[in-house]
Amino acid sequence: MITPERLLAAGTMTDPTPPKLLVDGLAVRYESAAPGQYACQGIEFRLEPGDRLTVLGPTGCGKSTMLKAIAGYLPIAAGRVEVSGRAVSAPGQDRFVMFQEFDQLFPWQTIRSNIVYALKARTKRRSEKMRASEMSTRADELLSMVGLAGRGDLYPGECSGGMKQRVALARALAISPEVLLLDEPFGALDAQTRRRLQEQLLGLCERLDTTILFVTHDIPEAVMIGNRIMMMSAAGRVTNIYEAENHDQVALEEHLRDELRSNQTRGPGAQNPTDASAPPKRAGLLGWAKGWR
Amino acid sequence: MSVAPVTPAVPALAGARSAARRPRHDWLKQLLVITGLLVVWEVVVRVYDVDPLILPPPSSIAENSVSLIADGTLIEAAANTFWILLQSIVVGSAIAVGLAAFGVFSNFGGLFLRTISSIMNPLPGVALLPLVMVWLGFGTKAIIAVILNTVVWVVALNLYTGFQATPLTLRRVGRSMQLSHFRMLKDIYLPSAVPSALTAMRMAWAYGWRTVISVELILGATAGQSGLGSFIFSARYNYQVEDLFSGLIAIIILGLLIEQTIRAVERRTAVRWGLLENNT
Repeated sequence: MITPERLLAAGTMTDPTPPKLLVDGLAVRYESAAPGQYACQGIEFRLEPGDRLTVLGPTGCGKSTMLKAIAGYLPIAAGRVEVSGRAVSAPGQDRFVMFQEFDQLFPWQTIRSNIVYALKARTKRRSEKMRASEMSTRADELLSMVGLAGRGDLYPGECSGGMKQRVALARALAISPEVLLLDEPFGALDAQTRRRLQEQLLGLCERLDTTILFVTHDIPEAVMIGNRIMMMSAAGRVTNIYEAENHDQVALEEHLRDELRSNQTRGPGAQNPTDASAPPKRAGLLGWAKGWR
Repeated sequence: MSVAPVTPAVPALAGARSAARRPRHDWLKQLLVITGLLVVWEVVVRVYDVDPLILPPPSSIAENSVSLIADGTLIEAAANTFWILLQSIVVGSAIAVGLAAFGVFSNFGGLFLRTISSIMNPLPGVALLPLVMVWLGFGTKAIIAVILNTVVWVVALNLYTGFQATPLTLRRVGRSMQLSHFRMLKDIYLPSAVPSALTAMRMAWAYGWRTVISVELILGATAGQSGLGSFIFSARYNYQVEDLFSGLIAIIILGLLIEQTIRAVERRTAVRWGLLENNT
């Protein structure tokens, strides 16, 4: 018998050290949607250092939208996101993202330069000093950590999809964010490559004590990578959070499959809150600072 | 039943792939076509004894061109025209990058760029010449101003389109790296827009060529400088038909050289990065 844990709720703990990631009552609205229509809502969880939270849910349940809002790409309609105790809204290096798209690397740079660029961005941000030769050495180290030793001179256009995703992972590690956000990073890979990359990611996370938030629709992947698995409903609400270590893997996968199936439809939990907060902001005709999209 | 062996997946190299597809010795065939046409021309002129003041044979045009190159006349004229065009394109592109960046970074900038481009686009550059002459006189400044007008809008609009086509994922990567606006422009938007920028360069050179030759033809020798346009103009004035043809050939050759340069840049950038297929 599988019973979910809800011990991760925000604000219930009085731990003096703030969590790596705190998400409290997060709701995200699509810009095009009518007021009161939320892609996801009432999302609450916290990640302690080294936590690996995987997020499951039916297609279109807003799990990817939630990740984009936490990353700072989409405006938050309600709630708050904190990284190590700091409230955040704009994108930042503390929450670097690894995307599913193969075009997330700069095609005009070799894969080594791609990583060196990330190292430059990080050192600039933290006003650290790092010599160019050190950066290049560090980039090669990171490449060999993802199994691409000696391939640094290739351009992304000369790499397979799996190689590109490894480079993207190495680049994310170069930024060394407080929380690494992964949006179905292996979703476009073949089964064999995906398996290898999952193992690699897990190994690296355990070795480097990386805190990750991993969105996927693949149940075995969620169970394999996560030490916690969060299930969302079609209405964009969290239904349950499971501690992987408390359960037998096979039984948990079976249970998640059933739960995912019953979550496919927008059930009675689908009604939206009435507290439609501020109306969507619209940039004026003469809005000079449009901001980045 | 036998099982087919699985071939190891080798990442296809962009260069190797396109080399296999490209027809070989294409340029040789093109050379053959040109030579054939020249031979027909030569034979027709000689057999029908055409008046060399109407259509001189290619052999005497070649001879004349060689002597024009030897005494430096043609080279100087070509260099003058090329230099004016180059200056205008460099300055014009710099202005265009600014305008396109303004367009991408602010709503008003985009509106401004679209509006002013649609106002200026239907206006042939040369049509502005009389007005520019009133403002700036007959000198090089006037020529540059007219070419600038033809270059800036076409480059700015193309770059703006290229900037806007920058993949969302790449922009988000840049935002998550907390890049400054300047770095965002230099390291993400500009490289992404290289295919559009190359198209813009092609159009800028093409429009620029037409404009600079027309302006020189109109101004004739009064511009105080002797470019290819004025060279052709005075060749007509002095009824030196062979000079006229030499000038035209120089224009064609320069145009081809510029296209080859742009293609070389394209192979080294957009094609190598996989942003464009190799189509040479």
